[in-house]
Amino acid sequence: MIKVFNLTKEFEKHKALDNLNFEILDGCIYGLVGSNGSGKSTLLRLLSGVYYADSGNISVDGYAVFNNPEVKSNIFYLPDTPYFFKNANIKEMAKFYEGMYPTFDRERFKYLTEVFPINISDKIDNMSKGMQRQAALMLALSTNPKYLLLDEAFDGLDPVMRKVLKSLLIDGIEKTGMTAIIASHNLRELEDLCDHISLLHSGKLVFSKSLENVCGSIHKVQAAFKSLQPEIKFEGLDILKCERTGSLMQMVISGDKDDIMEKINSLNPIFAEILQPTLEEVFIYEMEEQGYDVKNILG
Amino acid sequence: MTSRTSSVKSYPALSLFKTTLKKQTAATLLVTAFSLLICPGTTIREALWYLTNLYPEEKFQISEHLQFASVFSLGLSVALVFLLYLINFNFLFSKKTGDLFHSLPLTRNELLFSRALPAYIGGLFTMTLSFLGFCAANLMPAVEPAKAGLLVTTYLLMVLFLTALSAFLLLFFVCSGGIFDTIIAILVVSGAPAAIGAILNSVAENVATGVIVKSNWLIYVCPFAFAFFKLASYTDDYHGNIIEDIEKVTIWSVLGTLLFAVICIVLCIRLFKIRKSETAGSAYSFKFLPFILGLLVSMVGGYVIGIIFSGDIDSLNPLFWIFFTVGAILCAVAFGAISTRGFKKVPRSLLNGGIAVAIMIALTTGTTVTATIAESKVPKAENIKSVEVGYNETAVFDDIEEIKIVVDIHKSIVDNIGGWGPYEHNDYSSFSHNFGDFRLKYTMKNGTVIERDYYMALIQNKSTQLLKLMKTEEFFAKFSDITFTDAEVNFDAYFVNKESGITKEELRGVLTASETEEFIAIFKSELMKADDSVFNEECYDVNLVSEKYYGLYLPLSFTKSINYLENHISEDNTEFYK
Repeated sequence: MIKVFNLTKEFEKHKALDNLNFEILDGCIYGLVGSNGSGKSTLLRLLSGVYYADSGNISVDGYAVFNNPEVKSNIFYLPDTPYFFKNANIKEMAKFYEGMYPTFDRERFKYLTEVFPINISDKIDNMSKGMQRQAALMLALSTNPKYLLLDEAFDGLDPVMRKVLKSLLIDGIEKTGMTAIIASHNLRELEDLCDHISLLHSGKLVFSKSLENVCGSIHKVQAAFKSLQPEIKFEGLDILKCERTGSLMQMVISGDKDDIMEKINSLNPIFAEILQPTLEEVFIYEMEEQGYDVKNILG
Repeated sequence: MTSRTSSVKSYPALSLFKTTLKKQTAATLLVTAFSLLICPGTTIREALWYLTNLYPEEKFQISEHLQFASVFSLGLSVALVFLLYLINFNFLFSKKTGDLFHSLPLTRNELLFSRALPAYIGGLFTMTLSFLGFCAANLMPAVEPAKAGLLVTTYLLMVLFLTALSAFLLLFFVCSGGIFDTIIAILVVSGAPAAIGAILNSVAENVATGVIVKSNWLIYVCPFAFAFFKLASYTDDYHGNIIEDIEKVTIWSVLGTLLFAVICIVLCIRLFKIRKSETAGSAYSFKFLPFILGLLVSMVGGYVIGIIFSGDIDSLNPLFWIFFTVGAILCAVAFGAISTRGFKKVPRSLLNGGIAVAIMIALTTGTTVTATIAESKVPKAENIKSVEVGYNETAVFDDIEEIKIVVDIHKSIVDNIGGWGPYEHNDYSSFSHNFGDFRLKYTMKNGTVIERDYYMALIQNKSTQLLKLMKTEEFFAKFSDITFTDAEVNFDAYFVNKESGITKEELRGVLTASETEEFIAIFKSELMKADDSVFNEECYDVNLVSEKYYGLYLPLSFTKSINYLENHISEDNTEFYK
């Protein structure tokens, strides 16, 4: 388990992370989302021991990470722009990681060379961004870490490879009990994959919840009416967003689920159903609460 | 759930060490090949010249090449270590690379040494191979080999200096975040203290007339200078001490170098442990370094600007100080802009410049006061064990009465200094070429040595003073302590007119040994009766090259001596020169 307690990190008087407190349970896929510059990458670097905290602490299985090779041998950090040795190919990098990580699995590496459609003898420098990302993922998964930290894991991958990655991550968790922590802006992908989500904004933790509880009091309602209803009729409902397509209305409403349905049904819709909002919708709503929304940015 | 534990025990640090060593092999071999071409290449070429009977009966003295071989090998190896550090520590200059290396399962110490040791080994390999090649050349025919003990100790010294310099260089990599900034830091820290020392030396020389300001201490403020000068001095077979007053290597310099290396390594470990990996790409990882570098750059840069724009190095000139202050502050701001990649911290740079000005003023003031005190210092005769006086001739006086004569001369010089302006002391054109330097070297009873070097023009009543010295037993020992074993002594007598100096007349020839002794007795008796009405300071000159040759400057009034020479000297000196 990873525990983060009162974690703060500053860069030249700028607080990148401010007093974070949360836990990551073993065997889950943990999503880190946030606005640009919210501190996601910084948090991953702290969790992997690249940075050390200015205050607070991080414990992995009860031990500090920084300068602790035993703990770090269980963690593999894949940054958003992975680095490879000059003129190295995947085989050479695999050999390097094999020497560094005691859990490196040759068989798994062999299996992954068949899964990912890239030649392991080709120089990685000459590969496209997407192929380099595949190479990095291949190597990361081959190290069989207990904790896999991925920064922008899906960046550069085509839809097929994204599906492959998701399958491999789930497979890894099921077979080895791996915990994956993924920082990404690609909320659609995370929604399919993660059990838990943390939202960061300006270095602060907005929330850290299981995916089921992320929505909280936010509900998406889809309803059709015989004729257009003036908005005033929706009194008593806290409508966050409303879209109309003909007689079909899609609304994001804050409040108690039963209460919302009761009020909608009282307006005699042709049909009305309550849907789970997407993570993206929740993100936008929560950011609006933090003052980070389109209207504020564009002025 | 499958286990993730591997059956193979892994040693990440060792693995990284091996990977690093492997990756730098090509660069190391290339530099080694180049090194072997120069050393022992040039040595072998020289030895082959002897082998090909150009000098059939002579053997090549290979020890004459030892200095070149050792200094070159060491220099190239240090350069290689620097190059390999640039390659192996590139993760300190780039966040992208840094993410990989800092996330590896290694302690900071393991990361540091697994990247530093391969570089050191590369340098050591090149240096060893090059030096071994030189040692192998000792086995060539027509070569007079160097002593085995000398070669071994030279090699051990080279290893010591390579270790110390590698540790010193590593400090800069640990503290810097960019390649350019690392190089700047090395240059400034290595060169600026010596430059400041040279500036202060120059101040002292300018202020204190006669005080001999030693510059050999400057090598102690630059590790590179220390290593190379000491090694060169130790291995110099042909010229003796190649650098005047550089002591050969002593046990203290060995221990000092070792201590220096240990301190550097300890500092590297400590600083690397606390270095923030996010500083990769910034100029410097620790705030103290740009502060210190800024001070050094300001102090030296300000001084140079002060000299250029005031046209003078005179530290007493107010115009110099105005330009120095402006220059120091400008240099501080410029350096601050370079290290922060922009004019973001100008107030801090201005403060840095101000501190540099204050420090330099304090140092210059201290030096000026010290030099002024030294200038006026005349040791007490009772504290002096002996004094060596050098003017044309060198004589050592250890009799208290003779020492007092020398001290009186010294006092008269010091009293006379005040009458001279600062420029006239060093104005060579003021003096006749016949006047040489008047050098004093006191060996005190407590073992200390005080040296002075004055122009003759500073001595008041020169004739009287020097005549006193010529009349001393010590001076006359030059004549009487020589046993003329040869039948003939070649003699040069020059005649000195009291008012006009050395005349064009000269008497050359040969005297027999007994005639020479008779002449000395006559000369001595005339000298003891002489006063400064007949004596000129140019007479204080005895060119006693050996017991076979004699040269004197005779006052024209020494008629008995001159008559004796005219009557006895034989101008036929062909036998002498056979």
